[in-house]
Amino acid sequence: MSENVLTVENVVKSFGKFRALDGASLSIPKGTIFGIIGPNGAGKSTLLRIVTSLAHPDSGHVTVNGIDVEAYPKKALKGTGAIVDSPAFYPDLTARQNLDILSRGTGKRYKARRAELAEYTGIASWLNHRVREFSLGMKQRLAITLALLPDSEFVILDEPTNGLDPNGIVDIRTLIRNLGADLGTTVLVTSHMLGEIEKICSNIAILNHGKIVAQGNMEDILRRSPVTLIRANDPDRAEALLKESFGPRILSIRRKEDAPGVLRVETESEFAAELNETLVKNGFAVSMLENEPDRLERLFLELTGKESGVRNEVKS
Amino acid sequence: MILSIYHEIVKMASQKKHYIMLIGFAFLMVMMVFVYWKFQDKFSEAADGMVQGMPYLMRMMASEPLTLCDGLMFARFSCQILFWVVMPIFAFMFAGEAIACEQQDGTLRAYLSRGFSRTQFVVAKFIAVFLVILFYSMLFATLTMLIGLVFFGYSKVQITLFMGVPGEFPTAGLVSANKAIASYFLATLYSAFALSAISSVSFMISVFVKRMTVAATGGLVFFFVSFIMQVAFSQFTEEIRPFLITRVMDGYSQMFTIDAVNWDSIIKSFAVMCIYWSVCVATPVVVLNIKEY
Repeated sequence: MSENVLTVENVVKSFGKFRALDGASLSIPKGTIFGIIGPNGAGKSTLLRIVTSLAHPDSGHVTVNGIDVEAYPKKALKGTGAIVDSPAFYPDLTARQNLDILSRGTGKRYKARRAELAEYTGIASWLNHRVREFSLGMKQRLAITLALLPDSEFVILDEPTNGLDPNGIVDIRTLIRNLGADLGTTVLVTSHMLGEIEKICSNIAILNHGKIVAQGNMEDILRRSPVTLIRANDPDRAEALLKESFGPRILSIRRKEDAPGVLRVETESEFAAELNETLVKNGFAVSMLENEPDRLERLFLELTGKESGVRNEVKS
Repeated sequence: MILSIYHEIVKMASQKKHYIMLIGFAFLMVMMVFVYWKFQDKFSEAADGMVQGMPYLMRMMASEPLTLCDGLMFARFSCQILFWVVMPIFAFMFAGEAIACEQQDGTLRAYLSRGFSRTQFVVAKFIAVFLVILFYSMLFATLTMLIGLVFFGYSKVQITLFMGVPGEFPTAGLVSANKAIASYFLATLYSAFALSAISSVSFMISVFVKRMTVAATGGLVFFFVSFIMQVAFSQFTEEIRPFLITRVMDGYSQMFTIDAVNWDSIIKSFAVMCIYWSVCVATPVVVLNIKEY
């Protein structure tokens, strides 16, 4: 059994002249909650469709648990539950019937697991209701239940918090986060809501123009070029001191645009404590020192070239 | 496969168009009872005329022509309209939405994303459509017969009209009531097969479109064009006539006279049905296996 649940190798997919995926490669370790983020049109949905055998790659390979999806889709996706696009159900059937039909589960063991999962996702009392009566949040819960049936160890959720109200978002976020811990499920989530991905996922990949421009452990990726915000008296002297003291360890230092008294220090690794110590030892009064918030958003914008207009590819 | 067929039947059973079917059937029955009651005298005159033209022994069997116009004859008349006009529309609706609605609602993508067999999906759907058509054919045939018996009574001797192809002269014969009932249900069974062949056109179209109405209308248009080619332009369409989809319905009328069934023609009709089944099921299988969702 492969350590990676999903492996995508140099997948290329074109629609006419448009290249939706351009040699995308990624691997999802077992037991992780893996997020794929990317701007609209980056190729997220195309990638998921190829992974779930709904579309065929022009070249490249996709394997789930070491089995080629293109060659043996049924075998490869046996333990995989996927919700691609918005959750779709038969509105005139009950939730129970929908689960049975769409998962093709049968037998006592299946029924016991269905009951257990329905309890876990909070839809147990709604199993005999028609899906027509369900809210979007309930449909998402039902979709997650379906993805876990009959024996899924790998779950793919496409924009699971899309269209939900804030309470619904928190509920689904908690549910997804707990899937790995409680059930040992590997989860692949796509979203364009960076905050959600940052809160849910342990690993991420950033997809842009059909290429994976960064992937790996969330903390490692965010720590790659940490930014420390410093407010000190006499910022010009403080800037000069830091440049002199740390040299190439500081990648860039400039004034924060929306707060001119604050220095924005981008470093090759995180050493905020050393920055603080140096400033204080040299007589500066440091009134604020913190890591820049929305780190994922910043990284995302940098990697997808939204801020500078230039795509910055980073090897993980 | 059995599980897939069961699931497809569960899906179809949940649809609201069943109410439309039952209302349509009830409306047809009201109209037919009224028409049959209103023109019963004329029917008996016609039946009398036919009996007079029969051999002596047969004439003796039917001493009172009015009794020939009983509930069983009502059922046979009603089913001609039921199976030629009403049931094809319902069959087109069921077959047309088979794959189209799943594409439109996104459930097809949800199902296929599991890697389940696409061939099995199509075949199970088609068999389920056939079973639903068979169920309604038998149900409506039984109800029609019961309604006929309640309103118009029962005669031990039955006159059987072979209506034949529209435009052709009908022929008549006398059979026992038991034989008439047997042939009635045999004809119904045949019509279920014929309707599934006819509706397979909509089934095939449904894999290319996302709207049931488009697939159902496509099938209906094909049906009526075929009908017009068969009836109105018969002299120009002699070579393709055996392959016209409406031609398979001809066997339905033939089954009413068990003794005079042209089995050669029935076998040919089944052969034509097989062509339609094969093409109209194989095409969605191929398309679904190639198409990306």
